[in-house]
Amino acid sequence: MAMKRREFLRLNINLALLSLCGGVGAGEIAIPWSGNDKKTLADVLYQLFPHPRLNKDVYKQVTEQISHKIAQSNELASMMKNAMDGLTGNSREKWSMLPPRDKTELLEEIQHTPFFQFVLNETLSGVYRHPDTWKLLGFEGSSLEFGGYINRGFNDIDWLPE
Amino acid sequence: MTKFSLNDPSVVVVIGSGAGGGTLSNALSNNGINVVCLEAGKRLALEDIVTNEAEMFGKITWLDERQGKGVAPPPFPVWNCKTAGGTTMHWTATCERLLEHELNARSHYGDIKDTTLVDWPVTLDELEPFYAIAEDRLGVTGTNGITRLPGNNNYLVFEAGAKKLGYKDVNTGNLAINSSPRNGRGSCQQLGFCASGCAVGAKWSTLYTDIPEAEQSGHFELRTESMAVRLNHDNKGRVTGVDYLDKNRVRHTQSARAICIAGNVVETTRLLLNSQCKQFPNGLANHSGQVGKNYMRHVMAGVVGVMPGKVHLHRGAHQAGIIKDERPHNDKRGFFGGLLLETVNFTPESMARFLKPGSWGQAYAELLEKYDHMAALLIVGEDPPMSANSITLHPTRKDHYGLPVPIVHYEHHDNSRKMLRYGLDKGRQIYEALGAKQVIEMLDVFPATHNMGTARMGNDPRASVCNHWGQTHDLDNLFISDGSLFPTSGSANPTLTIIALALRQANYLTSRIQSNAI
Repeated sequence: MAMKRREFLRLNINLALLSLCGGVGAGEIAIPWSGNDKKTLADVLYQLFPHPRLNKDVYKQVTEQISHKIAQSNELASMMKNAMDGLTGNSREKWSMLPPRDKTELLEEIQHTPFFQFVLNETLSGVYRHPDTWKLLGFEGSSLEFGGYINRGFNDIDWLPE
Repeated sequence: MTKFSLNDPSVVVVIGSGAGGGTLSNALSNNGINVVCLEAGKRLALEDIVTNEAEMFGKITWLDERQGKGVAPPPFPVWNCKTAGGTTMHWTATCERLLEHELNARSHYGDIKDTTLVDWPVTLDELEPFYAIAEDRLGVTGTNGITRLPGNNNYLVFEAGAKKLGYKDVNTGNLAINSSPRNGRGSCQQLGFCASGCAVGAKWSTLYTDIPEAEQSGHFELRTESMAVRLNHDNKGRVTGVDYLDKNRVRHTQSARAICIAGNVVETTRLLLNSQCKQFPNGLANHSGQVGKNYMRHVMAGVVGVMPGKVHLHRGAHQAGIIKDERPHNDKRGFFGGLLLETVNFTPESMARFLKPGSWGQAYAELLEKYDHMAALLIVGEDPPMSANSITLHPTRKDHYGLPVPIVHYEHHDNSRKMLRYGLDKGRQIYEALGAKQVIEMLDVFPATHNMGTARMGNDPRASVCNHWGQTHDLDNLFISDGSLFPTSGSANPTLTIIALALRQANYLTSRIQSNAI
């Protein structure tokens, strides 16, 4: 049963990922991004670094950044195509209906592929460079314009033992 | 600005403008010797340095392809800089001298299997005057009556935990970061972006010290975006010039009276190996076969504690915190050599990248949400030279300059694994003593920043590349002026020693030139 479920999930993730690039025809690279494709990608990004209290616009913005990179590079597009190799179809709706646990399991199946690593790396940069994420994590960023942290709490810790 | 012609045979060519090359260029030119410094990167102004890690990473980092093997991170094995000032832009300014036993590693540790441990051909007595000059020039805190930096939150956690463990030698360290204005540089504002270039110039870098001082001498030309690709020599055992590519990839040849290479080990090695010829089939100055071997980068790992209260480790100088109690050699710990514990900080992006590399998902996101409760430290320990740890050239793969891609191979010696275990445990105990909720070890995740050993000094030309002046055994007027010279690594961050060796080499080279011996 377990194998069967895994195989089912694998098929679905491949279909789901395929939907990210808007359908790839044999021997050609196609990069049109539909609204639904971006929605699916945005959800994949959320599964990678899910911060429920973070403004969802952050994930949308990172999705735009990744889409833009892929659209500008044949190499990236081809990487994406390879990740989808041999598959056809579209399962956007199935993906969106899966519970998070299943989504995680599906992503684990492909986490060593170049396509996944590319998306992971871009998402990490995009999410953790975002000022909204910084605010959530308590990182205050540049203090140069305020004269540094020297007068802004660089040594204000108050819970250490005497 | 002074300019020298390509066919001027009077100039000393220095390759690289960082700690070694910048220091050497300044010393030579102020001795009246004409110097052309070839720098592969661009020259930033102080206002180009911003408190934005991602932006500065793109501006100053050496991003040309390299490959890591063994435990060296495959796509990015070494984190150094391509910019005027070199890696003095990225360094965190810790200035510890090497100790007597570290300079005599073979005598103190014995004949250890699978190592190429040796004693240095330079004594501490010989180095000390140059350490003293370097500390004064750099304005190292804790020396020359200079007050140490105040401790930031990350330090105060580190210090409190260290005291619980009974450590005594704990302070904010000897740093080349001004605690008050000195030598035309301002004081530390605790910006917290030390590794991205210091936006207020409080951290010493050759970019705004040695390079402009050299220019004022009238004997110095900094030629930026000039990538050295090959050294030329005659059949009398002398180098004659350097081929380099300018920013448009046009090849030029600069004639030279002498050449000093300070390319932060990886590029120094690549340049020598890539200058192979009939007379030097294994690479220039490599009759010993030691060029590229004995690569060291220190035993290095990180520890992050998730503390019971907020730390805000991003506020303030990265490495203003050091524990030296574990530095002496002490057989009872089950390994030879010693280690330092030093504070470090990370932005959220770096934390996400290095805490558990490759991790993702709900648990990891939840851990990262504890960012403001995290404290962090590094362990930096002596790693023994090993013949198999090496920098070589890829047989076929070329980078965008058309140069063979460097391969950086590094494995841990058994001794280093024991030291890592010991150091990681100590780091864990420091945070657990204060009630850390979780402690994460960062092992084999960092690219190397301390590069050493691939053109070692020694008295025996069959077993070393350079003599005790850093002059290659094979070619009288070819010098190595960076961490490649280190026969062993010691446990101290290497920059201060690189500078001391460069100052010492400058005196020697000046006297050889003035007496027409070179």
